[in-house]
Amino acid sequence: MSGQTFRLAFGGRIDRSKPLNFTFNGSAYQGYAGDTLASALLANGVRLVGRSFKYHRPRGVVTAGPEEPNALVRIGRGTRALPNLPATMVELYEGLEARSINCWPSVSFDCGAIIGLFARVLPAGFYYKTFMWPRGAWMWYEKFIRSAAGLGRTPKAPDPDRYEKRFDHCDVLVVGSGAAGIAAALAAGDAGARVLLVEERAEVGGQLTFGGGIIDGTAAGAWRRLARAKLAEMPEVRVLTRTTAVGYYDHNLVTLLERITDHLPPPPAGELRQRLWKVRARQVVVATGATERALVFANNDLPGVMLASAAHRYAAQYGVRCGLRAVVFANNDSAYAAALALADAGVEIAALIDLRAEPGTHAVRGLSVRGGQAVVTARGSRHVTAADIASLDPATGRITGKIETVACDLICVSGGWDPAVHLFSQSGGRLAYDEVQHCFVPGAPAQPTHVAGAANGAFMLADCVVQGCAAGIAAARAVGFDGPVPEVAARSLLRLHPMWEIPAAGSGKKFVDQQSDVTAADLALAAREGYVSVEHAKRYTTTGMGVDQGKIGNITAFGILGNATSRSVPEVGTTTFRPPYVPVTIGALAGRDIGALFEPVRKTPVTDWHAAHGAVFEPVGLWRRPQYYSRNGEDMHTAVARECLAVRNGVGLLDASTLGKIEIRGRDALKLLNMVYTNAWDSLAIGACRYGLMLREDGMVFDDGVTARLGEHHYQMTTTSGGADGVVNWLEEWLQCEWLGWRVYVTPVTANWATLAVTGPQARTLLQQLDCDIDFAPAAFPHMAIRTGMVAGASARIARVSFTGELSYEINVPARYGLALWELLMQEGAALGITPLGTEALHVLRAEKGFIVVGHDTDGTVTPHDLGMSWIVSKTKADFLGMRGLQRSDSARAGRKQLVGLLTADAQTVLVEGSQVIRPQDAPRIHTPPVPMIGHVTSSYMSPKLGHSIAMALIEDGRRRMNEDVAVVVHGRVVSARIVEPRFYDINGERLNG
Amino acid sequence: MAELLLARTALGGATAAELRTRGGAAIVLLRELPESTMLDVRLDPADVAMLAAVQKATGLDLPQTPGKFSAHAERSALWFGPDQWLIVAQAGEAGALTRTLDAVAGSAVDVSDLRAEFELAGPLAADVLRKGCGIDLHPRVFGPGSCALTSLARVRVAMRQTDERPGYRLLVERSVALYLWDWLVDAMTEFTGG
Repeated sequence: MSGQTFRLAFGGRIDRSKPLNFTFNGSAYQGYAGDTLASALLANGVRLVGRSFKYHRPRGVVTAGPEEPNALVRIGRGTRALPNLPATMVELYEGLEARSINCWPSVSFDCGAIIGLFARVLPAGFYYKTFMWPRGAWMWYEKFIRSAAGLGRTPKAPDPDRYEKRFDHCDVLVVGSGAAGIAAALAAGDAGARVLLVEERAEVGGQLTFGGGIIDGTAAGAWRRLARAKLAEMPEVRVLTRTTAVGYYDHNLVTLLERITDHLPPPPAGELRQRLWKVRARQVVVATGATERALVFANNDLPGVMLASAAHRYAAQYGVRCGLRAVVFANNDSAYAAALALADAGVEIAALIDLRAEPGTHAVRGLSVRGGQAVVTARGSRHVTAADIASLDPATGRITGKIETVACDLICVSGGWDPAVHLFSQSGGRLAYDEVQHCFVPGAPAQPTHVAGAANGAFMLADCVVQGCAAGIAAARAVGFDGPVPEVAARSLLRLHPMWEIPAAGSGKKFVDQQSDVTAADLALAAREGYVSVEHAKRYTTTGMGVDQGKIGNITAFGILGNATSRSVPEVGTTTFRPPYVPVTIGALAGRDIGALFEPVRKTPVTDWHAAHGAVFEPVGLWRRPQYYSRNGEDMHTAVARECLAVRNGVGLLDASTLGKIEIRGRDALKLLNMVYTNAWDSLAIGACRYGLMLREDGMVFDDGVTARLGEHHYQMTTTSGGADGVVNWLEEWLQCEWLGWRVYVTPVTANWATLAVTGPQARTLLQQLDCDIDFAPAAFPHMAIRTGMVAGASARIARVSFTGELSYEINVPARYGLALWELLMQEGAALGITPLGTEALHVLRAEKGFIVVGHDTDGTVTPHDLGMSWIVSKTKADFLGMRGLQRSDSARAGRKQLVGLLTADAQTVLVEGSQVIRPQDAPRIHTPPVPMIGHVTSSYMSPKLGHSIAMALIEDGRRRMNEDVAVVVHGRVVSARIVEPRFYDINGERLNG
Repeated sequence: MAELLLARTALGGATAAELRTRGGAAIVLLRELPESTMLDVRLDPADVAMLAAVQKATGLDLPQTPGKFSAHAERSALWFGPDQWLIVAQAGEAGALTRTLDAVAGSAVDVSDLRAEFELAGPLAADVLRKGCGIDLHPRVFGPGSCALTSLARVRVAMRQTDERPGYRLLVERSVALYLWDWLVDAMTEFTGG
């Protein structure tokens, strides 16, 4: 294939012996190893690479870096495709498939370009002005606007590639490996610091990989190779290439995106593709270089208008000339070197147009330099064919004299340089405006941050090396690695003549942000309409809001906004620099937190048995508890009814291992219990249990459970399954912050014990069959007692407590024996018809008894009095947590919602939990809100034992409404119910105490 | 006569062991360790007499420095807080040790079944941990004798380095042991090829 007509015969860092085949929008091309997609396309003379976002104008490659606004492509296919990648950063590989985005149905014939004809009706703020009417219609418009805009498409199926995350630490993190970054890494590494040097491209070196220059008497390229070898020999220096620092957060946390295989033909699915690093650095050296700024003149978005530094890089690094005849248009010296490099590459330099009346001092080697002039219009339809050039009046900046048209196929522009201050700004550092170089530079840092080189406004190679070295030494010294005191260096300045908007000689849009299709006129309009704040103007015009974040145009936009409002650029200020610096794939952010590893799952020792026996699980905190066990395909209703009746009539077995358990030991243990529970604990004897309610300081219930006294100063507290961590934190908070010196220690032991609850009238019979040294006779082991002993060789704590209302024992054995004990109980209980029960049956059984579930019947706004549990609130204790909260006027007032029972008029109708309760007289008007709500249903079940639906509800003044009828709104239908006592079964507790 | 209950470790029955290799050399090893004795010991660190009594009873100097553990004759004491240590000893010592320490310390609770213990060792062990753990494991910072209560894969772990391989012991609450195991095996696939 001989398509690479713009490829130079020699030169550059590409390997001409390794041709690579690729496709772009379905056409086949060839490039070389070392190319980017952009350089290979340019080598093939492909100039039109996409269509613009709003007007669908033809667009070409503008840059050679991550700041590229136009050449956005989708790489790969199917679920492994990545959208919105800048072609300038995509390394070429054999078989690469690329498509431009924003160009349906094709780049060269684009029906969206018709939109361009209507450009006059698409001003800034168009969407806000047009699609906000009629109200609510945006949802309808949005679909069409999104698909017309079409910035890339997200694959629908899961991504088969692997992404990971990783933490790391270092003494000195150096971001950017140009001359400054290398010098910093060498200096810090020499001092002995742990250094991490990060480079976003494939090779370290930044501009040293293609630019000329001399460092310490050595050619820059050779210096780079020497430095790289030295770094490789330092054991505590690590270099990461193809890695971009994307975010800089508090405490010197910097996130890095490492692209591991993106530069290779797609490896087998499942290979590690990208890695997100979270690096905690003691010191950070920002050596991120600078981005060249574009110039804003008419039709400056035509393919063939390119940053001068980009054209330079394509020639020097990739051996590609971006045109045959170029006009170079600059306001500073830096483009002169680019012009010379292009001339060396065989590009004819038609003219070097310098905005400055007094052109620079840079060597020109016979180039035609024309000061005080400007390119005012780029001519051409699909790409540049000529440049219109005019002289400018030095005083007014207006066009004077005749317009001259110069034929060319390339216009290289340089509007100055913007230090890449993104990371520095993200870190909280203040920016300062450099009035000579007309750019924002880092000011005072907010963290241990050093900035060196072009990122610091030092654009000359020698200054970069000096600053980098000084930053590396300073960073290392700051963390204890002594080195020579860094020299304070004075930098040379890049003199430039700022002109944010070049005057027009006719029509033609002047683009400030090519990706978002924002023009100078849009910014002026925004200012006229009152959007003078830079943050408002940004959102109104969308300037800088593309995936490139407006890297080559933002400062210009601020300048134009300033011109329109008679303010200087520093007065206008900048928009906020937000992470990420370049787009990060969702895959990298997710890492391995997907699928089964998405979130930790807690298992009891018996969980696998449950799963093998038909359990359907429900989440309780991070636990998965059996909700019910489906036998022979039973549905939930049937299974729950069977489990409930087994407990009421025989014996059931519940895995209660998830109950929170806390050991409390020490001389002041009793004092602690008296403070954290509402009731009094002084009379609790060793071997006895008591139920307690815990309140927050506001008097609201937040946990409950049974605490047993095991010894003189030894208690075991139980908590709700979901509340264990919160209770431990609560106790520790008081002990560590308020009750210093109390001799009491709390130890969370939840998972240490398997807790198996045997419940039902046959429970005692079953336990008496076990090989156990505990006397289960009612007199020896009454309700609310705890005994310790041995069960089949395992030490056990057995508490006779009940949440079902039946005779119940909770057997606690060390977790290692949990499964064996469960299997033993199932085996020994077989003759009694022992039935495992899940949480749903447990809830039905406790509701029949009127026992509350904290977090189910309470929601953080409910006091013990609201629950009808005033009996548990001590009237004699001097203090307990929540006591004062209960005395607040709102907690003590009449008319609060109170817990009551509800019986539906129709026995078979089960209310939906959360349903609203209203007065019966309001029932006819439920469809004409507002309807006063007097409460809501907290728990509701079908009771198999009673053959009747039962419910609990929080209802205003509920206890005074006893036996009144209410209406409950269930899915838009009214169900009548009667308020009753919240106890439905064995009201006197005879079964419990039996 | 009923049989004795069978004890099982967190990963269900026999001690799970996995040796993962690439090119024949063991680069990272993960295994669940058999049960041991673990005690949560609390006391006032200013109480010199109490510290001495614990030393006499266990042979262990309770470390006063955060992030350190001490070891003596198959026993270790991990710093868990200013007034809290975890003592790890051989299996079967729980009853006697708890009784002894309960008499001399502020509180001693047998937590032998609260946590599972994994060993992760080999040249790439730290790189496996770095995928889910935010603490600095560089030898200048964390070496043999170091321990940390930290988060690994969003799970609380007590981690200590026992040797220079490097070898780490991970103590993780029993209920999430399988999750952490699965996470570790997944994190190792980069080095083992799955």
